[in-house]
Amino acid sequence: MNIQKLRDEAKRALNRKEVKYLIGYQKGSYGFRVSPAFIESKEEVDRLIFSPLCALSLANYLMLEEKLPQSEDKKKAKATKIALFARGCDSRALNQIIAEKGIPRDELYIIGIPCKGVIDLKKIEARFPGVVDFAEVVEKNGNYIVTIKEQIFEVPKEELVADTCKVCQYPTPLIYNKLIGDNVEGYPANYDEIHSLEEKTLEEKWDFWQKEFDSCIRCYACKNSCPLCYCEGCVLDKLTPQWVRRSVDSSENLLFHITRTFHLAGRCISCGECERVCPMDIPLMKLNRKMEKEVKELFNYEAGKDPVSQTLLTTFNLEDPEDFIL
Amino acid sequence: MKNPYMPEIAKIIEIRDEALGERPISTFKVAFQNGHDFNHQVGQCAMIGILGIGESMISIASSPTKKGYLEFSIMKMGKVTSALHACEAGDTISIRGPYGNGFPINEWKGKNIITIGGGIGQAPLRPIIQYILANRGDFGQLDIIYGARTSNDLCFKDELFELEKGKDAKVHLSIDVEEVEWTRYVGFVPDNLLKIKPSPENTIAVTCGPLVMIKYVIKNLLELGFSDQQIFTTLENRMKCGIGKCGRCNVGPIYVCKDGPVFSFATLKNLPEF
Amino acid sequence: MGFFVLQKDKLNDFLASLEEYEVWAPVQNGTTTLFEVIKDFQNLSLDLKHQVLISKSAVFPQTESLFTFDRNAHPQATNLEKKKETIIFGIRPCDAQSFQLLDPVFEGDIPDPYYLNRRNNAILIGIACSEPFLNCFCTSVGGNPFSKEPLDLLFTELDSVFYIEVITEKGKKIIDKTSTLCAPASSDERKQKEQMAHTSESKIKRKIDLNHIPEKLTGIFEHPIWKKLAMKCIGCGICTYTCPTCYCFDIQDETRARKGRRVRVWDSCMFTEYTLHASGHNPRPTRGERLRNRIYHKFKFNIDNFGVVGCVGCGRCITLCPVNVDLIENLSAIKEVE
Repeated sequence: MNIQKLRDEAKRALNRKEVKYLIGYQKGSYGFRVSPAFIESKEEVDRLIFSPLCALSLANYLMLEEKLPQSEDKKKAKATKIALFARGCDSRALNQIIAEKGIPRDELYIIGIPCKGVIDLKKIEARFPGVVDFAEVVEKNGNYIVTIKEQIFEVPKEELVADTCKVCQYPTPLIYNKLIGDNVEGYPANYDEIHSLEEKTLEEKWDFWQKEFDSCIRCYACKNSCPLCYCEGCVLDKLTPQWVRRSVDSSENLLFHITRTFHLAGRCISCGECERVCPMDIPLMKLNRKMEKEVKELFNYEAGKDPVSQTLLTTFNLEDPEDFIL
Repeated sequence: MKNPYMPEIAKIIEIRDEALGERPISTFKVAFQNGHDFNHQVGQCAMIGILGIGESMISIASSPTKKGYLEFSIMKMGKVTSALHACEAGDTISIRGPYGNGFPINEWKGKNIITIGGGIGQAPLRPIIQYILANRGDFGQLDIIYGARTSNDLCFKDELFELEKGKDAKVHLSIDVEEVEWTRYVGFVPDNLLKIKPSPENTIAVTCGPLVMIKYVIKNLLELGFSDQQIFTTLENRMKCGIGKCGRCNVGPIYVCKDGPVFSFATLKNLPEF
Repeated sequence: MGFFVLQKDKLNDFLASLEEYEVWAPVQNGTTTLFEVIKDFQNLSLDLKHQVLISKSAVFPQTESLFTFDRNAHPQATNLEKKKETIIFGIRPCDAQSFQLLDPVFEGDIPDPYYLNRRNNAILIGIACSEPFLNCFCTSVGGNPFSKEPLDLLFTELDSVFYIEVITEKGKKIIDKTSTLCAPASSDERKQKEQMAHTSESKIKRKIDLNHIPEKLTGIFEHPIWKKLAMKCIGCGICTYTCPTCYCFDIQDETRARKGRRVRVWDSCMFTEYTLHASGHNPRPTRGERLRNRIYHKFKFNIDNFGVVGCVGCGRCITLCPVNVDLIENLSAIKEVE
């Protein structure tokens, strides 16, 4: 993937009168961090980067409430579109949001980027602790070439890539206005990583999750970083009636997470953001992947395949096994 | 150490409906159970609630000169206020307080007072009126300017109509839109204020109501020649602890529950988020 | 007051011998470190790098029952009498500073008995920071990796021993109780510790001059920069919940049939609902206003009200923010504003 091609495409997108602004990636504030970039004018495109460190889901920003103030000439041109970079998982999130009528397709200008997987920040910071200077990473022949100041290190990809990426079925975007980069083959469907949990007895599973959720601090980072969690009046925040208490204990935490998992059934596209952002390292993807597997087995349905299909739990077909929605 | 989070229990003696409609307002007269008394100042508030539902910060709508009971005028808005509206005389509520800084009413002795209220905003101004009436000789002229959207939304109608007839105060009521039997001013409260054109000489103006009304009233008062120190208002914000700890009601460096809710315009104009 | 040493492999014994106290310590929890009452000393962890839940939880727990009630009876206050005194062990010097910022909030005209009861009953044992972490910036906010206030004892990890500095009478009491395990420190060990303190400070990589920030902030409240800085923010509560100096809380009633309790829980000013009025009006409707409020609260209003900057430079908000909202970067941007 040629970064100059990406920047040129970004420039072209920003040149279009109807594009309000572009969401991409830029260098973070230290070490291996990457930050979202909100670019209004084509003069700023050189800030944009794309590397294995770009682990954020930019699709999340579409549904956050406020938008950038627009420059005067864009306002005159009645800019209505937002341009953004989308990797495979992001594109599926966009498909799902469009299918749910969360945002109209014609409000998006999607620059698709086939993704070979992103690095788990916790892994690379453990491997190279204390790095404050800006570091760069490129992928080459199954390894990551890490450059910190002038020193170069070569690390096998296996060691640093995020676990979610190891089972990614759709690394090449499924929806885009323009594709920058070569097609990347996905892995075949594989749910081995949750096998060991599935094998446990009910008591063992209960103990496992009880212990995990005991450390949850209900910071809601998982909910807020999820591109598909965009309900304006989230049921888990409501006070009248209050479904989940604000007190933080195993029972309420369990209720929060299980409810969220169910609300994502047939909607979660396994981007892994929830697990990435969790400050307590709770393995949230295990829940979501199990749900994904069940949805596939029961309904032969995958989230985010295209922007027009009916969504799973909002449809009722005459062929459905139950004769009513309950 | 006294536990500031523990409420006292009080019984509702009487509920008087003030304004009906989508957001009804009722005045609740409550009395403490065990001879406990509040000793509050004019303008202070209390955390009223129902155990099991929650609490809300409501201004005390009666003056400390009225002994043995407290009155609160509450608009049905959210969880707690809806539960209060579902109560009946004889039910118990929880009260914590009194909180806040109150009006500097002692400093106002010998001056003319104008209260300018809009809608439910008249409730925190009522204790000022009651206090003045109980100590009539200590104060100069009293002007009560009060308006609401319709005549059905006016609170304390009986008291105000009574005062209108007497000599203790000048009452200037208004409603926003014409009505068949309304012979008084029709229009917004800030405009009524300009029409009345009170003199700023030795006068204090206190206003409370919707935020937009407060802003215009202050603007008009300044135009009429009132200085920053002559203008007072009482604010509200979302509150939880009432004692300046939970952080919720902060505006700039101050807490509305602890350093307010009464502010002079001199203080207010220096606050960033106002 | 005295300098002692404790053999490193005797640390568990040291803490276990203080059984008449309730001991809070950092505890291993998978890849993170929690802070809780320690039951199994095998889980004690000095991995303070991954310490997400912090010592403030020992005096200001995330969920605290204020009182219980029964429908028709008077509320019953939670019994605040502590049966045991508390030892809070393993406090980083920056987190220790936070107690000094939390104390004036919960004292003041209306003292908070829940916090003060725990705080006044607690003996604070700190661990000096010989290897500051990636985003530490304590020296920029008037702190130091080896600072002593308001600790009672300060442990420094040397090669084979912990060097213990007794700072207060409370701390002395603890050393007296564990006198069989501790030995007086030699002047060599003392020199080692001073040397470490010196080099540790120089290892802090991130710095920022905060000298004129309060004056700067006075003038830029309405500046468009706040919207720009907050664009990345996703509005979660990680920064506030892992911050040692944050203390905002919510009060809620919980019921079950005719019984219930009123609880106090941590809250975050970064949530949209934080300032949402029942009428629907929200004085801080967007992330820009909420981020602005957080920065003003810590770097201006705290100084206005209490005379000290409301940040201890622990760096957790920077390390744990999922989208790289970087406080140091934001403060630098603010300094550049016209």
